[in-house]
Amino acid sequence: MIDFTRRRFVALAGSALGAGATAPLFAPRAIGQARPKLVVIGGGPGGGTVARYVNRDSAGAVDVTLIEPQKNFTTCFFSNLYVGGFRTLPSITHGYDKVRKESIKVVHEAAAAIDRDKREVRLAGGGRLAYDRLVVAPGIDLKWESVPGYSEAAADVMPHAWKPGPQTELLARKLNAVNDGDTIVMICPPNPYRCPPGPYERVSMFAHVLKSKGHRKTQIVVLDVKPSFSKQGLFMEGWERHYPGMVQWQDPKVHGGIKHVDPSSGEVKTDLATHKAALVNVIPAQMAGRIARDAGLADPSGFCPIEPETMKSKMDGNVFVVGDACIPGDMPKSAFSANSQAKVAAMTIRGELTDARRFPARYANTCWSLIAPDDDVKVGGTYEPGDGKIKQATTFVSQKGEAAEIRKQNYKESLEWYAAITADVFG
Amino acid sequence: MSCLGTRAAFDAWSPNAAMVDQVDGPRAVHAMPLAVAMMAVGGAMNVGGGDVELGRYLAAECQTCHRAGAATVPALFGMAEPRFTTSVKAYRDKQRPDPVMQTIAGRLTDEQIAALAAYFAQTKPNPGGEQ
Repeated sequence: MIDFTRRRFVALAGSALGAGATAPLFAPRAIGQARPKLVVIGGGPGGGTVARYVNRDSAGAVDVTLIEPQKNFTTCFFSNLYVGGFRTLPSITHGYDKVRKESIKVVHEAAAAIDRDKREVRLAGGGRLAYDRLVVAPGIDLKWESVPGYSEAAADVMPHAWKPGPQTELLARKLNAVNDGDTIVMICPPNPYRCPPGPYERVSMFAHVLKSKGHRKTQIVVLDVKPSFSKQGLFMEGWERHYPGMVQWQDPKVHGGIKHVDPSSGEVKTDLATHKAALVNVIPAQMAGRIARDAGLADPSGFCPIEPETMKSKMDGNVFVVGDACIPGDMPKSAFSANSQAKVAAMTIRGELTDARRFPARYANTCWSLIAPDDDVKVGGTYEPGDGKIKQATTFVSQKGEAAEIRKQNYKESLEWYAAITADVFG
Repeated sequence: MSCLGTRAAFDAWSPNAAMVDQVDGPRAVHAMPLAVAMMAVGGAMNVGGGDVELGRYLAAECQTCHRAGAATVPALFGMAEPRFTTSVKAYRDKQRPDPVMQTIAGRLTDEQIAALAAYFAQTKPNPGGEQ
């Protein structure tokens, strides 16, 4: 740790004066001392944001390394719009060239393990990276066994597409092969899971594609393990308006329980009925990515408890967990939330490693969902530490029966949000 | 984050915004070294009174949605302080529609708005998000 008093900061700050309007102004490099090391595991909206903000605001005073196995990162957010034909895959895929140019070291390897006692990350290739502070942002893993009959191998036939990339492409191919009169089944996950409105936006995208192809008889059966879901009234109103009779949502009281999926026959059995489906989209229960669990950062829920004032792990004061792997209190698991949490973590890390000023944590989220072309709804809120968690302060949600112009404006906003947040994460 | 509001709404609210920007833009640029110096020695206060370092932290929330060159969500870097302040207070007071911006602005104090205004006015589009 650098012993870096504010008096010394003031004395050194003059060196930043001629650096221009965009140069980082605070916490100049410690002269004659090794730079403190920040290692970030995961280059998505949580990890990527922490790496860039610490790097930008610390004026090179912190040595930042980002570990992300993928050279090109396809975002899960907006992947439903790819399924619906509104986006191409390249348009939601991002590289790390700009991040690298900012003097962040980007390591395209998997992180194999964390040694919290030695403060080291072991890479899949055998290399080791020492850290003063570590950010763990691995996203989610799927609980395959949460749906009887489902498995990692079954995902080749019944895609989950809840981690983007080849699974998303498989889902789109299978959707496009559905014939009029076939049945599609979606199995929705229990809380908490990545992107609460995501399954229902995806149902909307399925219906949009089918309607565009002139389907009249195809049924989409949505089997939920929850009695209610995010933006339910808005989605149901939209399904009835745009796709009358096509979507059938069943809560557990209706279907009585999901008994079995059979990848070889395409059958899904519930207490109520057996569905023979041309496409089965299984979205299983979820937990924090393996590396976080293996490092002992998760609690019995499978996710990682954090301090709401800092995003610091409750298990280790040198480790921060942001994004879908953490327990975010009242916040949903979303890219927006991850990006927001990352900024609190970055501010805290800078404060601890360089004596930069610290400010009270504040969080925000907005989730947009596309129901049909130019019919987009949103939900969001602000959050602050309270009652030992990240607590909701204010909230808003789109209204049923809104003017078409408002919904169209929402869609435009969502496109610009996507451009802005991906620029924030990937440069 | 989504400090969302439409560009049209911003401009409708401040019909002379372009003129204000023209007048204030060069001055803001020239004021930079002084502001930087004051931050270094005086606890990050800018010439207009806003706490620029606080503004820098708060601005991170805005950058999730706002970026340069967008058609609907206005760019914030380089925006003149009066225009920024008037617009954000209008959202905070629910004088201007948009649930996202009303929510975001609703928890900003006058001090925080001044900090954001000072930061955005004095900072060019940069690597944090706005390109």
